Amino acid sequence: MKDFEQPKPPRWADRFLEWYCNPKLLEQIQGDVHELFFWRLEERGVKSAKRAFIWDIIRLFRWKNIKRKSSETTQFNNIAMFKNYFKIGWRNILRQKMPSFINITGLSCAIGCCLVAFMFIEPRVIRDQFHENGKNIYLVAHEAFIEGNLGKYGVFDSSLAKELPDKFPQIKRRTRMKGTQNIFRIKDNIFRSYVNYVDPDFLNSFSFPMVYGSKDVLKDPSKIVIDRSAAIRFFGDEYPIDKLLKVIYDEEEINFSVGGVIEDAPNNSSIRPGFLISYEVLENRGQTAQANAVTFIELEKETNALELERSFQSMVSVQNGLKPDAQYESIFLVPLESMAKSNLNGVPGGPPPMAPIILLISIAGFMLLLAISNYVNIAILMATRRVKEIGIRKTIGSKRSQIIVQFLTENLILCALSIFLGFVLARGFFMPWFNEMSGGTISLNLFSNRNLWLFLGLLLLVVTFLSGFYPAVYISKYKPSVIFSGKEKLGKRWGFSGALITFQLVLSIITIVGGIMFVRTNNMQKRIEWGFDKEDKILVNIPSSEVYPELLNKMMSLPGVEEAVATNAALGEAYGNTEFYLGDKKNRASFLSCSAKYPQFMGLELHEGRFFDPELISDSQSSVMVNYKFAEHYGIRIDDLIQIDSVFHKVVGVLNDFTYQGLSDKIEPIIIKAKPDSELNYLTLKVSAGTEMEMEDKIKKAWVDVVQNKPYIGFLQSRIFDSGSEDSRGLKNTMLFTSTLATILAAMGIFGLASLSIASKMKDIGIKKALGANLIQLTKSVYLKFGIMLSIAVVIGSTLAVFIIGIFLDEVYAYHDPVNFIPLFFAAAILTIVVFLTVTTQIGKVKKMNPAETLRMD
Amino acid sequence: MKGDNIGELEELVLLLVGVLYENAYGVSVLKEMKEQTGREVNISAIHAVLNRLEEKGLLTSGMGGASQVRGGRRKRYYSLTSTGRAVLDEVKSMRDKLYNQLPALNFSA
Repeated sequence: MKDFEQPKPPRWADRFLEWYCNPKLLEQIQGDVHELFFWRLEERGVKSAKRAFIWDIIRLFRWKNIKRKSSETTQFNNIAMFKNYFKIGWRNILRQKMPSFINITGLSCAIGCCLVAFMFIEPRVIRDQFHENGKNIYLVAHEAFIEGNLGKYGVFDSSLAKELPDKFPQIKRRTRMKGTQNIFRIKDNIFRSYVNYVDPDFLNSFSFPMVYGSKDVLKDPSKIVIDRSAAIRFFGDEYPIDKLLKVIYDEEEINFSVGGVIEDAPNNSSIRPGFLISYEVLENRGQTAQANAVTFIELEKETNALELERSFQSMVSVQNGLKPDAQYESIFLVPLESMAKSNLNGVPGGPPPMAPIILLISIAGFMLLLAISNYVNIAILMATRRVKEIGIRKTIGSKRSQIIVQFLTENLILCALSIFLGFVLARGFFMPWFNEMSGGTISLNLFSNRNLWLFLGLLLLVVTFLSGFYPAVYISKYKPSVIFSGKEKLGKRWGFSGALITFQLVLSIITIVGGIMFVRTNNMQKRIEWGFDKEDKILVNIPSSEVYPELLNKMMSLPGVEEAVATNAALGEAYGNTEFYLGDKKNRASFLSCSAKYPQFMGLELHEGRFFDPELISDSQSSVMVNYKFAEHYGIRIDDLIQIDSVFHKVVGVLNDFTYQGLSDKIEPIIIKAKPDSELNYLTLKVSAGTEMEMEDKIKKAWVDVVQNKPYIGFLQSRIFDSGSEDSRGLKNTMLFTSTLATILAAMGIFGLASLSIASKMKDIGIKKALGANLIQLTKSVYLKFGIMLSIAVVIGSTLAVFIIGIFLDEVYAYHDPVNFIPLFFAAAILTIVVFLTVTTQIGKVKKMNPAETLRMD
Repeated sequence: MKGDNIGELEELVLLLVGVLYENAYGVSVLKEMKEQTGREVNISAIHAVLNRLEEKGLLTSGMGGASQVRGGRRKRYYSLTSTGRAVLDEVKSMRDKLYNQLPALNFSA
């Protein structure tokens, strides 16, 4: 160019103009400003011209000139367009029944899983949001040094708490809360239960709706408030108000009459009222030693909590003056709605259980991934049948973005349908199964849960987008000229589809291996030797040493009871814990005290040394036995000394390891010490072989006869691990369910892919068949493809399974078989069969096909 | 009715388009205005007025006349419609009529 040196208008301003300006007006406007620029250049120089240019462009940035997508008329068309998309989408779903069915089934199963996971997790993570006054309720907590460590404690001095509303007018209501175990008597039934002692305002501050009675009932200290399920348990259909309950305090029995019934606390409540009694009762009984209580205050509306918190600090010195043994560092407030997350000592509720939450999220995520991969695969193949439609749309003037929107709209219909079905599925099947397995009580209630709606909406968007975006982008890419010339083979995207199918197979191998491993571990646990004689033993509690002789006599006089030996805890139950010294080194170990006869009586096996000798007084004073684990871990031999409570104990015997605490827990070191029978908690009764069941009732009757005012606790030694194995059975069932569903989903994916890919090659196959190819020649390539995918999946999946399932099993079970060749082989075999069968059903079509039919088509 | 009344700047631009006859587009109107009346108006204002006048049916326009100084971009040429001309006439006659009714100069009041 000749005017190489000539200055140009600032490029960025020019670009800005191009960006905002309506394309219809751009040419003339841009031309004008450029012309002006060069004119000014001559008149006024470069700088001024540039400035003026920029100014012009800024001035031209006005409504009339700005590019706008939709004027009124195009908006009008949009509605009609979307109507059309919906119609076409719906027709497509109906026309391609098999792929649509696969997609909808897969997605709705996955969404069902997600919903169950959500309903389980939501109340455990989002807590305490349901109280009407919740925004104004705060927990009063404090910081203090205990044993030299500064800690945060969720409790507050109860006498200071009592004066709070008088001192601070901003406080509308104050309620203290203290829970204790109490013994109840209703008619002849004695039982133990947790009672919350609260101030009368408790029911006014918190939103636990009343079924019967008034919210002020707790002003009367002779009343008790119970929840609905307790009312039904005790009184059945009878009207519960004014019924009497007795609470046994030490030797004294006090009558409370039911003054109100509240609804059961919802799952997401940290505070579990259960039984409520006025705090006055506790104060009147002189509970000064335990002077701390969980304290909640409800503030007047519009109160600044921070300011209040600051003025609370004045109480620190009051407290420290009154209670030299409980010095506070500071006082602070915790909003009720974030209390569960605060993780303070002494606060009701705690952090959510992470293990089941992670498990459920992984399962739901797995399923969603599988279903979405299916969807993407099938959607691409389905869409390749519609390239002509896309070609025509593009020729008429559709933009690529419009075609993407069209496909996403169609996808939205399918996903909405799946979400609806998933909801039905979750409500009808998954939820009840899950509740049965986990013993939970989750329910799907659409109307009371706003978060559920949010979740469903979010799920719809995420699923629609994740599953629909890639197929839409992929299919809208083609140019009409390519589509109509037929040059490019559309839908020949084995790379991507193959990768997705392989991925699905990998996921299902992992879940199948998981399922197999859990079944095996579960079976192994059933066969596990407990290491002691569990049969025909019934344990009952010894309420006090005074009644012990009478109780023992009564029990021994029962026909069928052969022997009675006392222990502090049943084998396999929670033992105590003790500090001990080996030389100068301090250690901790589990600790069981029991009658000298107990180890032998329970059939524990001796590794070396001897059992306790009941005749030797020294054995119940300064002798212990340990398990093999203990001896091994600390290098202890017979006759070594262990110092417990500054007394030296001689190790007289080492026992073989026995199942220590739950079948899935590790065996830990334990010390067993002999004690006189009357000081122990439980009496173990050996009954005649095979009479456990009938004896249990007789023993209970005899027990209640002897002990009048204490609750009876009795159980069978052989059932001690039942709750543990129930958990593990639940886990096994969950894993089996997951692996089955995962395999079905993967199989459906393969089915859809195989059938669509064969359908697209029908013409090829027709010609080959007409020329005399046999079935093997025709189908070899299909089998080969799936065979390759399967092999890759088996290799990757097995590696991952060994790793992931290994970690998972380690987490849950202390002892399990290694993830070895056997489960991997089974998983691979199961998948091979599934893949083979699925592909073969599709090959059937080829076999039956008459070449003339396909060749005659279009 | 649209076009019945036009503002002062609109009248000026309309007149200038008429004066420039076959060479009326954004920049030429702007330059002409500067030369003839000394008024400096931003190009965006000129565009806005031209568009408004076209909407009112007083001007018509067409593209043409690319030049190198414009980077090869065409101009939008404007020309007076008969309505535009009529409006100018009307404005002028109304003004004249009113002007003629002014009393003779008298500074005593």
